[in-house]
Amino acid sequence: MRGLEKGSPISPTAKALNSVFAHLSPESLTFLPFSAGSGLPRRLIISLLITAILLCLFALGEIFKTEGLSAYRDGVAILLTGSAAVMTLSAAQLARVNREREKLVRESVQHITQAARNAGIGLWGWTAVRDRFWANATFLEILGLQQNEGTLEDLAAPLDPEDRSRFSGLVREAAQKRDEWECECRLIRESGTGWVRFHINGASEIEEDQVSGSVIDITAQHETLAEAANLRHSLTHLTRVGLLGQLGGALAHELKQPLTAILSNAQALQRMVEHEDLDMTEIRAVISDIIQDDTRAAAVIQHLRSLLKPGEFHSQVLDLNDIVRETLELVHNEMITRRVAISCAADEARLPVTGDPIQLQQLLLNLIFNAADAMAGDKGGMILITTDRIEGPCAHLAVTDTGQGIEPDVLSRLFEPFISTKTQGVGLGLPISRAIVLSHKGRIWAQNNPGRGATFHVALPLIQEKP
Amino acid sequence: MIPAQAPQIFVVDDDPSVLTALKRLLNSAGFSTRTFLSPLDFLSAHDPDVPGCAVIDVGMDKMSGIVLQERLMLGAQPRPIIFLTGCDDVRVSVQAMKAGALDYLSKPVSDQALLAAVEQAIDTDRKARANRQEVEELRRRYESLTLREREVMAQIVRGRLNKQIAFDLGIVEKTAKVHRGRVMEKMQVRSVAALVRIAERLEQAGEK
Repeated sequence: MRGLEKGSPISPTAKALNSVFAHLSPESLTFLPFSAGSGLPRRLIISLLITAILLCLFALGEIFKTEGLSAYRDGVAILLTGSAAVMTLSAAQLARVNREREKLVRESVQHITQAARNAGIGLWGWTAVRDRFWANATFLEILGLQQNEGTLEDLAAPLDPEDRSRFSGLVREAAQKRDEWECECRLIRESGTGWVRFHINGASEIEEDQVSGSVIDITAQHETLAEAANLRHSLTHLTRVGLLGQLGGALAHELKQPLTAILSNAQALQRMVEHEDLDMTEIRAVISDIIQDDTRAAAVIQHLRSLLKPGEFHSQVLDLNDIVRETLELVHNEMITRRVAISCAADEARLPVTGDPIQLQQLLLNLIFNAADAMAGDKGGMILITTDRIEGPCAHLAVTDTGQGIEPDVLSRLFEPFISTKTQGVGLGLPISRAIVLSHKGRIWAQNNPGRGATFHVALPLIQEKP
Repeated sequence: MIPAQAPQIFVVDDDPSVLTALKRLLNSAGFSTRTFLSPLDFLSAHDPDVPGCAVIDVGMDKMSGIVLQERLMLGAQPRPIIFLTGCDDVRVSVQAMKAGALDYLSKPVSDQALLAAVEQAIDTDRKARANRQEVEELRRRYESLTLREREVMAQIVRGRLNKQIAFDLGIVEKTAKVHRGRVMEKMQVRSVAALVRIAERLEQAGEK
């Protein structure tokens, strides 16, 4: 789950869109033509000035009322009328220009709104001083809000309670800082949990205390990711089940050992009783052994179940050497059948790592079977498993075989899916091994040995253990 | 005559609890057992002169049961082996049987199956030992013959008469007759037919 993330990488598209929408709000849009106009047209000012001068001249003519001046008065009157006409025309033109501008702005706002709606982008803003938000229709639709204004609390109300306070906190912080944030939050919807990604632009130079941003619905994206994770999980599980199939008899052997002990003990007991050979100390020992072996059989079944169960990733602190030891027990019989000598040189010290024991066992099984397959048909095939410490500090596991090695052209694509050199291989063993290693924050690599065969290496970060 | 020893059952399994349980079961049926957790320990402690059989697990860590079988079969006195297996691998069982295993039992093994197999193995071992002992005795008799007597014996078993033997070996008939008498005496037989049977048995044992 991703919560609120400060300074998380922002996509270029989101950035571009947000710079466009950064300071658009209904309020600022309404006042835009006036604030944006660069004063009244010069023509109107000039005609007003001329009219004022003419009015003064006309007034002078009235004061002196001289016959000789009648021509002057008439002239001034005509000029005055003309000036008034020009003034009226200019005023009309100004009104038209204003109307056109207003139309242009409305159109562009409409275009932006439409584009945002078509792209499914919700726009919003918040003023810290008045604690009011505004939002477009798409925003309301995405968050399932009814009112397109209200307090920050109203805006955050549809969010999951766990994300709500963090989101509000981030928005409040944004009102103080000129920065950008992106955060993903869960939504509580009737149809289930939704996911949204907010983009938050902090206070701008133009408007202090103003936060604006966008929001997109990423529920589908999240569901796809979850689905992909599920599929990967199923695949890991299926290949593990496949591995168990390969182990076949070996696992049966694991179970048959305690069953053999139980049966023989019970039948020995039966005979002792029949022959009235009642040595109570011996009988107690037999019964105690039967119980112990039963527990052992149950443990084998439990282990088998855990390998078969499509369980979640269970991370725990474990010793890599234990994983190696348990896996070797598991493959021991299978390797005898395949006539592969398998040996192990484990580091003497513990190699504590964090991981899922089942997945790590699957990883090692994959590598061992790969090695054994690489030597199929060879006489005297050998697998050597070593563990030690390398720089990092990391726990290092190496599986070395004496097989045919890896073709140079395959070596580079070794961990890609569906690359298989086996006749019956699907080519998923190594990609899944790599997926397992990556989920353990480790590295996996392969190389051909100087002599013959190949070695697969795995490095997993060592953890500090409390003494 | 070598004094008859009680047969021993050698149980080899690297699983301690299985080993103890098998020992108990065999003991409860009246068998004397010796147990070994490691095939190597068994090999170093193994006395081929002790009669009895071995019950061996096929899938062991240090050395597989099949390899152990190969080692055991190298000696002059092969030990009858009953294999126990946890996995039913046909290839391994075929290999084991071909190499002379008496039985190949799947784990978990019932007492009846195991005890019957052990009884049979002990019987097989006893017969084999008796046979080996007899052959040994016959060989000793044969080895007490001089080179000339052995040549004469080879001729006798081919049904040749003293006259023919004497001619072939370039000796007089009377000497051939003396040799024949010595051969019959040393080989402790009264008839040529008995001598022929001994020759056949020695030949068979020699081939083995």
